[in-house]
Amino acid sequence: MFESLTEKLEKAISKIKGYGIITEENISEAMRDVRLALLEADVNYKVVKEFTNKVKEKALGEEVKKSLKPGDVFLKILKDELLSLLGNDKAELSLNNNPSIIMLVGLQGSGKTTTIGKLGNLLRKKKSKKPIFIAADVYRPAAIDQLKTIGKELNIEVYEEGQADAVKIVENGVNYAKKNGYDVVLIDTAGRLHVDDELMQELKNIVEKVRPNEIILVIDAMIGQDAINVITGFNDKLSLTGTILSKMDGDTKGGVALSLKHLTGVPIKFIGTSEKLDGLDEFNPERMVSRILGNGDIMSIIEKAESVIDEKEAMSTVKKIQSGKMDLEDFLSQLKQIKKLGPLENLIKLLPGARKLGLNNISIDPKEFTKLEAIISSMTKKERQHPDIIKASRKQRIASGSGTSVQDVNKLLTQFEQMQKMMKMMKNGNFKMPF
Amino acid sequence: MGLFSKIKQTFKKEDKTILTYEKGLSKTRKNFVNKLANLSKEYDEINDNYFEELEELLINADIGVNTVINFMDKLQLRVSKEKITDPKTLTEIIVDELFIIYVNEEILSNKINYNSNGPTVILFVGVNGVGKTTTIAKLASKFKKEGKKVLLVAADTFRAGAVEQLISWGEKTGCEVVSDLNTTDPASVVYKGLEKAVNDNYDMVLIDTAGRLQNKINLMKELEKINSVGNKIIPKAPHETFLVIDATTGQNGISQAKAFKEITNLTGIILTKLDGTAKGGIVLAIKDEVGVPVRYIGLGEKQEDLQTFDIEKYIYGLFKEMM
Repeated sequence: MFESLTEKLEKAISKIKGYGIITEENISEAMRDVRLALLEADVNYKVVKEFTNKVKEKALGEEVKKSLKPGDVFLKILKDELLSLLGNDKAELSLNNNPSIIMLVGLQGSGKTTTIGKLGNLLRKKKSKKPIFIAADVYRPAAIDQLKTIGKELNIEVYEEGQADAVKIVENGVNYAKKNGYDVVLIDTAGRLHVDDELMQELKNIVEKVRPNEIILVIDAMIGQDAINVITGFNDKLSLTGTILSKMDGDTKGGVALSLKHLTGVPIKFIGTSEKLDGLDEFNPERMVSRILGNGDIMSIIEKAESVIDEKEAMSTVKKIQSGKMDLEDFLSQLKQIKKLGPLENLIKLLPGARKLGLNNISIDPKEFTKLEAIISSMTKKERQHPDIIKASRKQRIASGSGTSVQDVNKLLTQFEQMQKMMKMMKNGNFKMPF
Repeated sequence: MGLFSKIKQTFKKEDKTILTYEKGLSKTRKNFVNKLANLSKEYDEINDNYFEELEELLINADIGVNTVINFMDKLQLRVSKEKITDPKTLTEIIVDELFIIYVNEEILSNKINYNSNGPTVILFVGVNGVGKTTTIAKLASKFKKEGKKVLLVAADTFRAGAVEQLISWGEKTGCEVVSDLNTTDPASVVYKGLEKAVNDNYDMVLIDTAGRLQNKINLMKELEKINSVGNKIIPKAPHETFLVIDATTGQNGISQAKAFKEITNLTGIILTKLDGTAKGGIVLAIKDEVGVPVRYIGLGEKQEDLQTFDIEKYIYGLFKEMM
């Protein structure tokens, strides 16, 4: 996400840096680029206008003129303004009731049912909750089956009554949850248009009956300028407590993230980051800004590692990465751990300066992992420790030993070399200021 | 003849399909048209502010940023060249130019490219949650009404409940469904389906695939495989490949069209969920930048709400109140 936005912002920043002094003329030029980048990222038109005006105004202010490093000041202004768009605070879920009732609403196809599964999984794992799902999508064929399949996979109970009255189902489901000691109730509702009065009334009726602690709108991150209509549509009728942005792992530019808090005051609580049932992250404005500005998000990498690998191993991984001393042997043992982390490209993108090193477009087929493992397993110990000794004849042997081709071996070696290069840069501390 | 007079003439006769267009698009249209109408009322003369507001309108309709910027340049040039000063005249030119962008001197046909020698195979692709399965059901019942023998293939082996959803639509529309809950290999389901289609003399085969984000390389590779299976059993299959896009989609629609066009022989777009407030303007940019035309649009939940796309009607629907 955000790659092209990041690229364009970086360009604008480096232009300003190149000038050494901020003038009305060069700031206007830079802001034209920023404006286009934001519009192409589907940031709301009004927000773009406000944002560019504000940044421009600040950049032309007295303090900046006096500064010896206007580029850095410009960057700081961008950062502050982006942060104020996203809201400065992390928005937590309200989970103090027993049971806490969380209702997910949204347009058709926004990803409610999958998100329910992810949220249930997350609340159980991270907050030690005992969740239950209520299947209240009585319209879409097989929606209940979908939730049941997810429930089965996660071993979370699903309360359902088939295609009955949605309000009744929710009411009965909440009572059932109370009786059976569940402390979080997650309600899956049918997708609907915010202008469909009849179906919106159904949601209102559910809200009146069970008074949910959280009413969360699930929004597809690929949504365009219509986002504002959708959000205000739902918010006016239901008083939303938060939103979840789904499908943020696409190559979406996610401009809705930059628009919605600012325009509606409704905070973003989570973002969907993969198709797997653990692909839901708490939304953190500060880290998001860091990513937008190309500074990466090492904290999220570490947290992710922490959740699947035990701390000791995570620490040694981080240390190895930071020291830049990683050979193919480590690479192999880490491949196995990394597999647990889910799609690797998602992590690589979080690395500081990843885009500048051309790593943002790396895409890795999970099957490639098996291939990589086979190739490294066919190397001698010495080769693994000193990959640079692998020349033509060794490559031939490794290729035939692993059932791959010399090209595959070459590919692995170049990729590894790239990684090492990046790690060296990180070791040298270049990652702190990738501009 | 200007576009307006042309389409006015086309639609003077009572036409049922237009009514559906109007009904479905009414919410879509309301905002947009009101604003555009206000725009021509608000301004006595065409100036920079006018252009800025017009640009805002077009971008708010999700007509791609590049397309809008090129369009604005062209429009401004035309205004100064033809010395246009009255905003009311300009409105007609705006519609005209939008039309030209979409059509781009091509002859666009919405007719299905039927296979004259055996089953016609249509592959449906798209990102998650755009409405592929529902769209297939609507089209299936359309073909069925035309007296065709229709087979549905459940090749979404990924999403929980997807196969069940198609089976339930199969029951409702009276179409046979080929599925295999024991496999995770969609290409094998497609193979099975196409074999059955040939053996049992089906006219139409509609293949449902899993939603996939276009940047997921392994899933796109899987689609490549599904796509190449067709030709092995039925020559030139799939005969049509439709990319289903949700009308709320923003600039990402362009990237979707580009990526899916690389993997499959994309022959058209189906724009769904146009009955909300979204304008689906991104299709203009997709046609402009990627060259894939819209074939159908979804204006509601009912089967007959899936309509053959007609750019003139689409623009007419958007601008009706101004004429």
